[in-house]
Amino acid sequence: MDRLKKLNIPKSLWILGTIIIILIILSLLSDFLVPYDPYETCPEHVLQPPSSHHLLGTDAHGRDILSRIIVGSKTSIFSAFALIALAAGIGTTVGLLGGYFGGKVDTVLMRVTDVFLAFPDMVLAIAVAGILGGGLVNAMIAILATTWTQYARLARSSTIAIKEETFIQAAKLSGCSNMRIMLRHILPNIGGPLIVTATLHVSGMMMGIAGLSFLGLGVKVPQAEWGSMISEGKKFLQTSPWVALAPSIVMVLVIMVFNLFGDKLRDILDPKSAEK
Amino acid sequence: MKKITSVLLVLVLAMAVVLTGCGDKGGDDAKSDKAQVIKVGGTSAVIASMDPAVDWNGWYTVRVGVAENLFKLDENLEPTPWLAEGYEMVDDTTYKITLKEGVTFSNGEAMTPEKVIASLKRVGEMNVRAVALKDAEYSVDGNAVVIKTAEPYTILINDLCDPFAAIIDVDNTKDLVGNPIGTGPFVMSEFEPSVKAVMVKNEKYWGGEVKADKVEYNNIADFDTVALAVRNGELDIALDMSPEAADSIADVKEFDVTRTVQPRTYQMYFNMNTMKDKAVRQAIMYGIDKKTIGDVQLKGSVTPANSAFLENSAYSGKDLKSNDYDEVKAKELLKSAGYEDKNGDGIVEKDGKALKIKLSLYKRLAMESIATEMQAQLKKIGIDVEVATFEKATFFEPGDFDIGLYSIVTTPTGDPLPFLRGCMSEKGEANYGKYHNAEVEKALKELAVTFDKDTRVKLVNKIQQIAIDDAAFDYIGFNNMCTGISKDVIGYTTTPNDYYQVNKDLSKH
Repeated sequence: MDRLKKLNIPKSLWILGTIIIILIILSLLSDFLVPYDPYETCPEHVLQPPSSHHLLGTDAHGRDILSRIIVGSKTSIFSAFALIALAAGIGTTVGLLGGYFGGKVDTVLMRVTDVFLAFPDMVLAIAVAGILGGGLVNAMIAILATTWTQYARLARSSTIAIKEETFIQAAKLSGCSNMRIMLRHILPNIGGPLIVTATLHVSGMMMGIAGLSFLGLGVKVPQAEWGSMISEGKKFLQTSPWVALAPSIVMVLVIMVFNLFGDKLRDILDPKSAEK
Repeated sequence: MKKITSVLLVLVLAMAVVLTGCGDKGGDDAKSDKAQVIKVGGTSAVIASMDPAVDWNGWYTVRVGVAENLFKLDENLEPTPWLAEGYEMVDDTTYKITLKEGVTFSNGEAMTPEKVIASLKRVGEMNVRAVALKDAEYSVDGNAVVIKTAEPYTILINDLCDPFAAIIDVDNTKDLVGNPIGTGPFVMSEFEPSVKAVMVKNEKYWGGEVKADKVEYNNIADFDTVALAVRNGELDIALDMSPEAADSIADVKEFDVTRTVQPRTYQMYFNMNTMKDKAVRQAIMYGIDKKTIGDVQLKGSVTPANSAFLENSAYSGKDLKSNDYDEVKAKELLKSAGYEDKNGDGIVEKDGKALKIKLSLYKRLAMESIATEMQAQLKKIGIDVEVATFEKATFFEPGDFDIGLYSIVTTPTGDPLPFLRGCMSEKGEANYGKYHNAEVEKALKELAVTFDKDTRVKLVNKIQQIAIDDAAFDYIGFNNMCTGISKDVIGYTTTPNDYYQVNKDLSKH
């Protein structure tokens, strides 16, 4: 706690952090919070405008849009978290190994990374998702394939910068194993920029999953997911705009919260930008 | 010297530009007084090949007015002569078809019996649905073609109405995919597979003066874009629109939306290899509320049905005993077959295994909407449905489905035999569900050789009833085709069978 105080965390970060925690709790409890069954169709009430019964209206199958957005938040937020955990895990490991050992190991690992980096993110993701077929898991694999490289690059450059520091030399001299040095001495010292990248990435991941779902490569019908809801709603944009607008607005707001949080976090954790 | 040359060169070039500019302008002015270009767009307006003999491509070749058949179906789906003058049945297996005098292909060649035979023979070899044309023997008798079928075949004239039998000049066509030479009022001028087809007026059309100069068919990715194109005035005709797209252009004054009842149904295939339990199949049939899907969900754009054939046709299934929507009965059936929800998750299980079904469909008309509704309805009776969406109907052949949704015109030539034979006969080209019933097989054989109409109706009903009792097929309902037509356009035809569109009288005010 003392350490936290020393960092002098601004109020805005606390507020944003609280909002994010509330969002996470809400999405965890989403199944109990929904006013209607998000999957029950009701042909008599299709495309109803927002009213006191349906706060955000109903979609083309008479399903309550608010309920679908709430349930969809779980898919969006948690798949984004899971993706980042995986991408950061894989990327950091690759970067650490390459940066620490250097030489042939580094060359091989970095050339593999280069291959993945050579493709534009979304294009590669669409290709992978197209080959694997639809479904949330496949969409996540597709996005993962394009994301881990950033962590690998970042971890590698940070590792190289830190590897010649005297405390690492000291650890080596006192007979620490390579594993121990990497995990106990290097990783904590390169963690800052990685965490910042991860936080700023949350919104990107949510966009990625929603984007694939929008194209029909993400979740399968009828699963509620923001991207697929927008995709379904776009054909009613002229006649019943709320079907596409409601999930879009929610998505913009949530992504904004995560981005602002990441920005603020960077101010604290990333000394370089703090100097500016 | 160099300088003078370059100055001269520039002058010449400038002159050329000015002159050609003038020429173009003059030409345009002269043309725009008369030039009639009709623009047609739709989500499946252009196919990969214009060769009429391949698969269902003939529909597109005939639609755009490039090729014509010996016979044409009238509004009651009865064959009437088109390129033929008439026909005569010499005996049970021999048809003598007299050709119209003076019919020419768009390259100026006369349509001779020899050319007709070459065209028909080719179809027989290339199209599985044209099996009767393959096994037949052909001969020439003056200006008539004599076709002798291998065995008595009642619907040869109907088959000749099928666009696959469109007559083309096989010997003189160099590019069958992009430019088949037919007898129609239009000639292909530009073809980009699955993207764009441009046809220009056939100056030598045998049927008289062709009014329009040019017809363009464009594929447009989705229904919303079609509606937007209509709004922007980019289209004169918008082909099969979704009900939502049709609604969204309701306020466009320059457009009328016509709705045509089609014999195009949403057919449900049960995969007999993966869904062996008949009770489950029956429960699904009882569990689907077609009325809600058609009348409420799709706002009447699909007319619910239990039979493969239209209510107002001779072969309608009015007297069939069908498995109509009955949720209670569906649940009972599942229960008596040993399926019960023991863990309370709303999905029934048998031997600890939850009842999960894969519903495969492809992006055509309202299929995705129907599937979502079916999924919700079947969940109510305790069946967990996974929907798999494909771009094209490619999942049928490898059997990648428990239930497959197919959009098909059941009486493309006015007769039920080709459809029934295709999906129900063991060797049928569309028997994707691997259905087999000896009695059906026998009745189909009988149907092919029976000429008496009443007996045919009885046979068709018998076949349909057996298929229902076996719980092998079901039908959600018939599509009501929505076509947006500009008020400026005259002469465009919309027919239930959906393959007569462009004709010589098509024009603009």
